[in-house]
Amino acid sequence: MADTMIYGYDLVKEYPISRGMFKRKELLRAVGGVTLQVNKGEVLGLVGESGCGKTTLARLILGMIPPTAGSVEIAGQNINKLARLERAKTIQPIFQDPYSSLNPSKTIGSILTLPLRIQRDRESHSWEKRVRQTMDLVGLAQRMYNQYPNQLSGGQRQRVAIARALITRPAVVVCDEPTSALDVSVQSQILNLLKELREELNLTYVLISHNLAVVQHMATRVAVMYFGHVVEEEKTNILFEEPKHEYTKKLLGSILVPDPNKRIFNKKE
Amino acid sequence: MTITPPLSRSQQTAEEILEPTPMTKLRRRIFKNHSFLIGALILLVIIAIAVLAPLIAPHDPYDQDLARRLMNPFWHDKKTDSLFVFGTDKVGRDYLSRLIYGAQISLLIGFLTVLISGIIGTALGVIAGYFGGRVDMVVNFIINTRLAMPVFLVAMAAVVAFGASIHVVIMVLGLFLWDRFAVVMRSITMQARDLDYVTAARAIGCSTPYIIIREIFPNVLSSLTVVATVEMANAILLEAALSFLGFGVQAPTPSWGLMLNEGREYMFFSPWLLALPGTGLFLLVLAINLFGDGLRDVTLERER
Repeated sequence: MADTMIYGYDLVKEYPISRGMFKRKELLRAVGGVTLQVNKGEVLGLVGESGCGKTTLARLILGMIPPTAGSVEIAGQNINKLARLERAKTIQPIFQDPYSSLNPSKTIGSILTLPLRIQRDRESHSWEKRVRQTMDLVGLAQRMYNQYPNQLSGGQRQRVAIARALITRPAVVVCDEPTSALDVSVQSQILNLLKELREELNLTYVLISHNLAVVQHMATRVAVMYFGHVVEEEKTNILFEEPKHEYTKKLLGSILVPDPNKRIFNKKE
Repeated sequence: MTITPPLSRSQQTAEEILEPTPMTKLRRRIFKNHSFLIGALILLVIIAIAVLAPLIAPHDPYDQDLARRLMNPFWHDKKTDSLFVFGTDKVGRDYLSRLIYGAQISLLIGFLTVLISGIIGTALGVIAGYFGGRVDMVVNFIINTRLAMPVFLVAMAAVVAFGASIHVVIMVLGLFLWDRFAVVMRSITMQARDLDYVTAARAIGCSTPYIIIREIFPNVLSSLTVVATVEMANAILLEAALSFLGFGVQAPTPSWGLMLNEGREYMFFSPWLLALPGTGLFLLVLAINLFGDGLRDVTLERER
């Protein structure tokens, strides 16, 4: 189980920000030197406040943006040197907002067939069967095959997004806040589905969330990000029990417990 | 496959089953939208008249006869002829036939102009909106350059250079009315570009042309049709104006704008020479605008 699936080495991403037409561009360092390693079958939880570089790091891992410095290897291959279709077969994203991640003018069936069509999958006669199998796998009713995204609920849409990511059987799935746009009751369904699918298909996840409960529930390891750096990385149970870094302690202290008798975690008595 | 789907088929809620299909919803919205229906009806009638002109026109629109010049239309008492329902013009041509053939000219110019300018404007706008940055700056410069040139002056210059004809009018208008397409398409594409489904398409491995044409374009199509109707009305009015001033379609072609010009000198004694083509233009432009407005209401609702 110790095969390295994702290896990111000293990743840096800088964005130039214009301060005006004739002024020099300033550089914003979104990710400043992150090294991370995720083994096959692991779930790496990425936590941190808004704007700390979680999403940028996810996009770097996905190969959607080139890093300013450093490199990402997925299963031993540099993601930025992979051909478009190869990359798509290796790693897939699941987005936060299922309302904008599905093309409103296409049916669920054609959304799910698209990855196969783009991959120029030879067995075109089996496309529909495979789409329908994947729909079963993620718990979508077969009648939705011909429906449009706006006829589906948020949870159902997120299932479609998951099915789209999984239909080409990628090894790694990057979930960027997969549940934060959903109702609480649906959140747990989606999380359990992701958990089941991981075991079923032997997937490796990178799970981004600012909901620490979600991360605790899902992740095997957690990396805490702060201002573009990973300040602490540890096994989930260890990190939640004895956080070392000051920021991690603060972050864990910010969890609100739905129990009036319990004091907030870590608060001085 | 050991996973049990959390939502089995028997668990569908009643609401989901009764949910009407998008087509049913669309049909319902169309029949509730009166301006769309009225606009579409008038437009269809005018298009039918234009297409069937050779069949329904009672006379040859070019057939002159000075002996029957300036006959009155049927609602007058004197100097009417049941053969010429809307009377005749100053050289004795049947006014009804000329009006019918005039619809052809107006629609032809409207359609072709929108086709040419739509292709130019959409291509520029979508490219600028999708790529942004430098490309956007260049396209914006082109749009501004175009906006700095007055259509009428350029049309007159073109007529002087190439001679006045319907082809010149179509080319000038087609090459000049694309600015609104470009501006609208640019901003809509910009919004669509940042939506997750475009990122998802890129992650799936779609190429950039595929994303633009197959993923983004279908979602901006309804806005495109709305701009197209507005521009079509605009083009038809501009053609009439150019023809009225003598820079557009040339005599003896029956263009409504040209008919207005020809009737001008008889305005006080035969006002119907102006009223009839004017009404034609008014109805056509009104119908197109109603249709476009209604189309926006009917289609844009579908997306979220």
